[in-house]
Amino acid sequence: MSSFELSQIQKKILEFLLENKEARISQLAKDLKVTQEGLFSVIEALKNSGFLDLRETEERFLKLTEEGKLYLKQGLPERRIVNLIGSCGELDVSSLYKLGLSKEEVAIGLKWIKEKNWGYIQKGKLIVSKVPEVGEDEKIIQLFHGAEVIKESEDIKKVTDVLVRRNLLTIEVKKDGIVQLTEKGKEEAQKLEKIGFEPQEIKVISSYDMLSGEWKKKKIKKYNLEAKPKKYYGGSLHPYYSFEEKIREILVGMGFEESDGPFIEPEFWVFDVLFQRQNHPARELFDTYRLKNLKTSLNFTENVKVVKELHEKTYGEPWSEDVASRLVLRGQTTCVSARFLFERKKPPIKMFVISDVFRSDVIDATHHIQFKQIEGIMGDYGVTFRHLLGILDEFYKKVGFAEIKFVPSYFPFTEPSVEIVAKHEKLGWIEMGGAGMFRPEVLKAVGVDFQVAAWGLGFDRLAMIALGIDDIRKLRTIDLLELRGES
Amino acid sequence: MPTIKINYEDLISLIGKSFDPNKIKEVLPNAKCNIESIEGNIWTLEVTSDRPDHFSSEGISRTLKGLLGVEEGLRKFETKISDVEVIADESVKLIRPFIMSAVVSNLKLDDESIVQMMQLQDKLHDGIGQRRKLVSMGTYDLDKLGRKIFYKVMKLRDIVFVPLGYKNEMNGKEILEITEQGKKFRSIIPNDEAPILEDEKGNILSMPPIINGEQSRVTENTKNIFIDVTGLSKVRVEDALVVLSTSLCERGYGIEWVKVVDKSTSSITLPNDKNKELRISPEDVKKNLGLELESEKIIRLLRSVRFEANLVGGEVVVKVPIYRRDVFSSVDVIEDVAIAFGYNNLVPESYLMKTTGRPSEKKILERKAKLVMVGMEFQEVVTPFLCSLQKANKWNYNLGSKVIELENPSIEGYDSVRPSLIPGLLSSIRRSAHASLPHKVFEVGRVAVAVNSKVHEFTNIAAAISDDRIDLGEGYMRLFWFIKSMTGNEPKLEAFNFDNFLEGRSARIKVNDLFVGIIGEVNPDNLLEEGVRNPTVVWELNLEKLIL
Repeated sequence: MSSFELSQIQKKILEFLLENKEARISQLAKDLKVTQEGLFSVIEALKNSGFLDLRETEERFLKLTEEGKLYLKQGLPERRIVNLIGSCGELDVSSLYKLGLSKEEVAIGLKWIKEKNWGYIQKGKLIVSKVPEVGEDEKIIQLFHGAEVIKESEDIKKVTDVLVRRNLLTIEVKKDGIVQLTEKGKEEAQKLEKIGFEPQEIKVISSYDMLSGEWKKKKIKKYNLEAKPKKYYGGSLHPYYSFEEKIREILVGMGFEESDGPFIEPEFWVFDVLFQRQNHPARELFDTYRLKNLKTSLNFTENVKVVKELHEKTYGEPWSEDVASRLVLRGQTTCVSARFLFERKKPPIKMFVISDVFRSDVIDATHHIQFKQIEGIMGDYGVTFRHLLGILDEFYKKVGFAEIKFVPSYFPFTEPSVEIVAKHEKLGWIEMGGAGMFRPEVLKAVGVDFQVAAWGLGFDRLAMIALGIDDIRKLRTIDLLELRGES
Repeated sequence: MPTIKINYEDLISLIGKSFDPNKIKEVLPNAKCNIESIEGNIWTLEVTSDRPDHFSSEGISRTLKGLLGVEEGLRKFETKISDVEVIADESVKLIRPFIMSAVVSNLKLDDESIVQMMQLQDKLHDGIGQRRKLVSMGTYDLDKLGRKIFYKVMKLRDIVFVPLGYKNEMNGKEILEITEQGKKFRSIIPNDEAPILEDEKGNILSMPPIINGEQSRVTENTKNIFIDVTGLSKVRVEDALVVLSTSLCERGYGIEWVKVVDKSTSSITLPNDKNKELRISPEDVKKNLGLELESEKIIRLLRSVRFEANLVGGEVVVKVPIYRRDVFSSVDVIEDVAIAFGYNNLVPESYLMKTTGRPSEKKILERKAKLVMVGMEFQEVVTPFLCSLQKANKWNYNLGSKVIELENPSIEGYDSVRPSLIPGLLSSIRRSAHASLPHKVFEVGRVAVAVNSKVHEFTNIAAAISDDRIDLGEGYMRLFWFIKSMTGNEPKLEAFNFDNFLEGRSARIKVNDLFVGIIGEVNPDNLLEEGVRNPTVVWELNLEKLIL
């Protein structure tokens, strides 16, 4: 039996006995402030477990009957009779009645005078030789002056029996016992003493508790595993960015190196280098945002002359450097590819961009003015349109689309141009973005002599599918409730 | 990309052979026409801006005939020089110098063909015409006109005719003030005069680029149509005339080019109707498409997409139809070879290349910054690059700089480039009013300002803590840790007065004697104005400057 299974009261008993060697149950009950009856069953259990020895005892408590109470006041009938006779002499038994004693009292009195050998009757006369001393029985009755109940001591036991027989006393028997520890009990008690008979219950172990070993003396409250924990919100990366990281990893894994450029670009890099005719709808293809009153200078841009010649020769219209130097928010990331090629110029090239583009539009569930593109180029002497389709196929398979289709399309900077549609099991065929082989004019504008396959794919659409969002505005949510997953 | 409507029955009658609608649906994407919707016979298509010949059903039918095998090779047009003449006055040279004209004869028109003709003109006006500014055009019932047409500039008050769709005569000024077209396009022409077309009988036929006259309106009874195209760019005028007349010709017999006589020099101009010739070889096709095709195969494919192609000395000589204004070089023809072959018949192929993939240094840095922030239990948010001018001005603490405004904003509240990430963070906190405290948010993103009219764009990081009790110290300790863990350096603060921050609770952040950002307790008045209900401390750093 381990100490953990002992009840609190049992531990208290052991503690008491360790200190006091032995104890009377009735006293113990008083000290521990429990009922004696209750304590008995507890002690019984300890005894059965071998912790205690119990010597059972009985105690008798005396109480006067109504008759006894009367005699306490008047004296016993035999005493009253001998008192009437006095110290000498004799008296007619019949005259006793006249002296105020009832017939019954006279009978009882005479019986006990005879019994106690205080006198005798001769010829109708009671003869008492001397006034008898106060008897033991009378002394006992006298004890009841001022006490309702008295405890019977061993020495008066004989007398009380007589009084009980005379129906002057009643006896109540109370069981009691004396307990003391067995060896086993002592051991257990000592063990308990070490950890404390009443260990403190704690919820948290402090460093002090831990280092001092105090924690062993304490009871560690069991954690309620059913209860929900307190609300907690750690920081986290935005899901929109996390998805960007996923796409980045795919492209890095496919051997692409990353680049990016400014959001604000002159039209030169956004349109002219990409062979978009000035004053042409293609120029408004993306409904570009222009900056108010701001221009840049193309003075130090080496390929301006080349671009001017290409445009004027092909389109048969004058090309304006002024228009090319207007600043816009880029409507595509293809300008990053153009700048990259212009600076790098050496194949083989595999480059990607995941970054923001801007288009003049409304903002609703399906439209936004700012979104991301997944741009990529692959440049080398032997790169063909089929290689472009190959890399797109590989990319979309890695993103999770088993089936894609290629549809003829138009972009001013690629020829051939292709639109990619991918099959989604629920949404059907979805437009994913555009791709193509950079036109010779574009290659010339950036000064490379090898073939370049290029693509610009929609990032937000993919993210919406991956994140299970059907409103583009929620993609860049700024609401902490949503970001904490609570709305 | 332009969107047009065509009538399916009309398309089929133009093709001249009946097809299952599903077959038409299948081949349309190969003509770069994507079906957006179908309502009864009306099909809405998204077409590409490089193919103005696809802005009406006539041109689409021509392409489909090839793809469906109804008619292959070059579409030949019967052309001749018309007896109608346009005489261009010197007065137009400063206002709208170029004009070209043609007559399309023996037409059979109905309601639908007039709808298509109007649609084609509208789309040409919007596209290469740049909303009629560079090019505009008109169509007239030739049989109601004289044979000599004068193109000249007149004073508005002297221009008097019944504009198309009206019953009464108006003068030029009234036309600009009363008619829809007048109000919409008046800015293209001078204030007190306008170019007009007038026939030898003295009837004013039209006022380009504003409106035509009611008198020569084209109806379903019109047999012969006179077309005028005027504009600022000769190339575009010719493009528009060729596309419009060749499309109309699909419902008629032939095209008559109209001589334009320059009144001052007597020189004559006619549109160029020669087919452009290009040469491609099987090697060119292989180099571009990765497809090995015999010359004969290339020729067959090209004929199915309405080119003429012949083998001349080992090379394929390609004749380009005159309405294909998008073909500039051999790659444009090679795309058509790919389309004729079928994009989905091209087997995707891998290209082996020795390259090493890696994220950009900048993204690696940004990622590191984000992880430090997340480690401090900040939530990342993503807010727009654009904001309102008012907010941008309020939060532009960059000394000596100006906020960048958009010339053509499309939505209220998004008319300027953000100079700081802080307003975005405050809007996130405002939006999160119902989320339990504390609100700890950060963003890594781009901002831009103009300094001496030069654009400066940089990547910033900003953080905000909004809580029941918060002060500068709470922000500073995190800022300190951020800078220390990113750079190993310790920042110093220097008092800085900024209206949006509390006085004495606002500072510039200095690292190695370089100012890299600001920190402050946002003024409570300011917070309430922004709709933020708890004390908030913010800081912002220029990430690029910090790492330098």
